Amino acid sequence: MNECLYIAWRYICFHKTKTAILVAAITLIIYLPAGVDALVDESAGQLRRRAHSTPLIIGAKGSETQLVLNSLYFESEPPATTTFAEADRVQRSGLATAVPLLVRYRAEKHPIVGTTIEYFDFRKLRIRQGRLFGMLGECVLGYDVAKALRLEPGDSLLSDPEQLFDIAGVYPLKMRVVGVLEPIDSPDDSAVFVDLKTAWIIAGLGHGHQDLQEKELLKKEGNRQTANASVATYTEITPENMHTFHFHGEPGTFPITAVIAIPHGEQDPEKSLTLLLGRYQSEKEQVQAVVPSTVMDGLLATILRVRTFVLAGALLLGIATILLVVLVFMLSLRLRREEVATLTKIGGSRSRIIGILACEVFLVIVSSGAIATALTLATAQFGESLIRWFLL
Amino acid sequence: MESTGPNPIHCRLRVGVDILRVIRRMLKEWSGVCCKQQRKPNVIQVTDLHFAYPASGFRLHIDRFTIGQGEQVALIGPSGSGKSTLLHLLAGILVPDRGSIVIDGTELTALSETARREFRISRIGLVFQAFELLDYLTVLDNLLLPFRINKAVARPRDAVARASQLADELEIADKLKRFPGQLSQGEKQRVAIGRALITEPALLFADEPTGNLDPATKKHVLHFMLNIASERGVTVLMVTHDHGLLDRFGRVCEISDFYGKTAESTPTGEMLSESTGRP
Repeated sequence: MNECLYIAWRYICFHKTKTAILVAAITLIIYLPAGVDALVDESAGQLRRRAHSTPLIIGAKGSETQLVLNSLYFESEPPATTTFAEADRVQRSGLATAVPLLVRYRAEKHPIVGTTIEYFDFRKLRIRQGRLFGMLGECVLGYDVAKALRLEPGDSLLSDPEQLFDIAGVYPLKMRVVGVLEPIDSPDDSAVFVDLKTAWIIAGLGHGHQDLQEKELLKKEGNRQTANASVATYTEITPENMHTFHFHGEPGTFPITAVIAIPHGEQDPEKSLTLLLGRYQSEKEQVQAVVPSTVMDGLLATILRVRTFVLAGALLLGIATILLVVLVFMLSLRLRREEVATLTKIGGSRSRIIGILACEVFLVIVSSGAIATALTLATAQFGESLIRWFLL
Repeated sequence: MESTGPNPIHCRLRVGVDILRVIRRMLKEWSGVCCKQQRKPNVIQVTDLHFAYPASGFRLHIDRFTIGQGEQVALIGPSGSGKSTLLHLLAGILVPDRGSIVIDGTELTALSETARREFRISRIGLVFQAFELLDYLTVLDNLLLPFRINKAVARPRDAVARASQLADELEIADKLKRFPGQLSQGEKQRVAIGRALITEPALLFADEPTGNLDPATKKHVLHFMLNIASERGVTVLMVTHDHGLLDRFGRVCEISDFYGKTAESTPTGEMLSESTGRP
């Protein structure tokens, strides 16, 4: 057996390109279904974990999936907004703690999450560098954002303009980085966190500008003043100009995309959750309350159905590739007929000759299997990151 | 006037011819006795061998053919006369329809295929025209190949040393780590000779080993093959088309191409066979 393995190994080493192609083809056959399976399992697990750790989300009526994906993963198109009053309503109910979210804007393509300090406790996010935001215009970066943009406390980050060619639009806000979070392998690593009020300033609901002079004033109706365009609007909030920042309107009417409701009652949070859910069942309600785990389970059922189709496709592809590999081996054997004849003529035993050929197949398959297994394990290990990089 | 009686000169000449014939016969018998006395024991003994390729109509019949131990015999004959077929029969690669082949005391026709393979790899070295080396093995691995492809020949502890010594004798010692594709034709054939001799066989069968070599190289390679075989007491039977090499052999045998047409060759050849068609 050793002699067969040795000769087979020499053959494989000599014909590197041919062997590499064969190994790559067989590796793909094995890895494709196994890798997809591992990736789907991992993504399903990740979606489930995040969803199960979020008891209830309240948001404007519309797509439940969109609301959940936006609130949990900060992805998908922003759902319709509701008002901050809904967060107040949850808080006032005494059944849950309300964590408002406004996830609509981006900075260097990373989602800006406008929220409150409670969010960090809720998600068990810890500061790696610096501190949490405490003033308007400050932001805390997820680990991956800080790493990707090479930012640290003291640096600044500009929010992306919503519409590049809309000159009447809101100016991007230059935010000051005050902290970086510990990595926790969740979508929080890829987000930029700001106070809800800062998010509203990015939305153009609040602003700061130099004091109005008489010559710049166009109109004055009660408390409402209209100035001309020469008034400089600040695009960065600093301790010096912070006092000039103000909001026009009632905070209760300001937009948020969702409220995460964390039920009270250490002994029976399910009861609080059920009671809270019941309050949003009315047809007249302008908002909806969704249980993320229910929504995600529905979504996962679809993903698992898709996985079945993918695996069936991979199986067919695998069969086709196996047939091709068999064909390659047969053609190779045909090309090596003279070599086999030589071994026979000089007295090679049938078992040894078959052994040599079998060892070649064995080595190719074992190499492919090993690489495919390593890839599958890597997919399972780093699937979460892969999913976040490529899918979400 | 014409003379009608016997011509006395003619009569004397006839008597002289008869005397010469008697002397020649006596000399022939005497030389035959001497040859028999000098002849070594037969290492190859073929008796009433019949073989045919039914599809092509080729038939080979050898009444009797022997080679003594340590002899170096060239086998010549026209293309398709069955030289290579005979070599394959003697090596046990082909099986005769009937007849007897005794090689080194073993009746080859009585052996199973497995036993013939084992016998072949341990007792017979084979050299081919196209070298037939494995291109993916180094020279050293090619030399050691017989030890790897049949458990019948156990690899001795000094296998590598033996291969190195052979390579040294064949003047390819500096090529041991090279692959056949990196060698000249002559070097390839020397590797093939080394591979054939590594198991220390009793016989070396060579099927036109110089067929692919240029004139200078073929003499060089043949010199190596016959010298090393001679030093080791290996019996050599070589099929060749090249009449320019025959003077290197102790005996030359010619195998005929057509029905019953056989020829005897110099210096000590013998009528060998009848064959027809082409294999």
